[in-house]
Amino acid sequence: MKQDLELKLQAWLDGELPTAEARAIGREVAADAEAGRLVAELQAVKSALAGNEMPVVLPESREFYWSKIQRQIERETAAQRGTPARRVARWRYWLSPLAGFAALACMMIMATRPDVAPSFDEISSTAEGMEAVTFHDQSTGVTVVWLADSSDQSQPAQAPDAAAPPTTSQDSGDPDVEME
Amino acid sequence: MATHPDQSERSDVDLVRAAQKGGMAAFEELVARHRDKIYARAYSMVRNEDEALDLSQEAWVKGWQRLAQFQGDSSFVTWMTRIVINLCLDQLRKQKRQRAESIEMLEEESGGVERYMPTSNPNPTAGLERTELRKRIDRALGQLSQEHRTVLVLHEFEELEYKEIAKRMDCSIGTVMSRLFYARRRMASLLASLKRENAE
Amino acid sequence: MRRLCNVLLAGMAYSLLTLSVHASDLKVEAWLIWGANDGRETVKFEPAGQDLADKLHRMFKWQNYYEITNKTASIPIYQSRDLRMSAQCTIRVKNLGSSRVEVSCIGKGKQVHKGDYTLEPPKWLVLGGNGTNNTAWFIGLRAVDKNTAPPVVARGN
Repeated sequence: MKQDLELKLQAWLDGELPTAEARAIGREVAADAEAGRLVAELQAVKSALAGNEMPVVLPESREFYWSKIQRQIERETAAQRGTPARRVARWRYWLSPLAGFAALACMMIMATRPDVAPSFDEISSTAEGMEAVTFHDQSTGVTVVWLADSSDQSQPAQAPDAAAPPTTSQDSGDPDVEME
Repeated sequence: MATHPDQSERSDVDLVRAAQKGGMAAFEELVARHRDKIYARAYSMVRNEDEALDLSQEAWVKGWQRLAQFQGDSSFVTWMTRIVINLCLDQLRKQKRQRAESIEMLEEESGGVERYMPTSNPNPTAGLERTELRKRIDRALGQLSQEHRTVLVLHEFEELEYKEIAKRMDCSIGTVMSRLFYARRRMASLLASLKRENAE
Repeated sequence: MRRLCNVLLAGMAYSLLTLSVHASDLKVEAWLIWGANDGRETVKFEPAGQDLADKLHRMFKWQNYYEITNKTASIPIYQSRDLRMSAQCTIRVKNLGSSRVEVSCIGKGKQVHKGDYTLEPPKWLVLGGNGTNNTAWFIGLRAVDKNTAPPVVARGN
């Protein structure tokens, strides 16, 4: 079967043909067994797909998802409130070579500077209902991010001076990490 | 983020009006109501969770920025779906590789191997329970190329006409028709082979 | 003249930038550690490696730290890798270049935290939280280079 006809059969099925042409193709489908089989197959796929899209759930909590959107809206709103475009463009025209020199100087300084303690607790986001407390322990050099339920009053407890009383034996099983 | 229980009682129309006046809480309720649908549409097109999350978020931000343009010609969720579709199409265009595109275009011209296949069982999904059917359809969709999946999603799930699809995909109506034909025949073949797999 | 200056500056800046950005893969290792007061005799897991265990001892109250699992990954620049630490806990690490990473913590399929951090060997980044029955979970993450000694597992203690 010619491709042209195949595509017309499809268009007929999809209601995309003008009325006169649709009538002609309809007659073709009725008269030609091969055309009829092709249309039946296309129709079966259409019917199978109709209303059978797999439901998908967004894999983030409502609050967390919204917090990111809200932040982006606020960022973009703040950016739009900048100085009028023309004035900015003029300043950019004159300052860009200077900015280039400054960037180059910065890069050369950074490439030769001694190691400094890395900064931590940069941009971060935590799901609603959770709190993240970040601290850098100088003695161990470890950066800790402690995640806690907002309603959980317990703090990340520091190492005590005295040993804790011994606990009773129990089968610990697999302590599946549950983030509360 | 404080919850606003009273917002959940309001209609979309009311919420949109409130959001158009700057009501962020109303917009947040709209997001909460329709986030799954917008995310699902993004995911169906890009098939990547991270990308779908980013694209859906971007769609909501754009929705907020363009709220004044929403006139109520369609439902709010339909309007938002169009935004996320456009973002996904932009993303797919950026990712398109020239070489693969030429091979696909060649196949589209000739119709690919499916053009020469005999018609398969006219009803490869007969007797399937809905959950199983949806799983198979999803699996089969995942095996299509992005271009073919896109045209199928836009036509079968979004019910767009050829002309509208051509405009959004920035191609000719003829290309839309070829891609759709190829995608459907491929789906028929995939669904039939999934049926055979399960029967064994 | 001005345009030529700009082009020259852009070219020099780009060259320096590409030299300074760490273009090779970032190798990371992640350890899921369980902090508990339960003694070794009641627990089926091995004690955590000396290095990390010592540090956790100094910072937290629990007496014992056990290794549940460890994962390693080699992450190309600007790519991310998921490290499935347990059935309900995954961390996603994205290599941002120059020892910077974006770390997402996913619990029960939901993202609970995401942050950008510096990860320079041999320093640790530790995410933690309360577990059940007065225990705690920790995920120790660090970048690995050829000079980083693997955490010594104290067996038979």
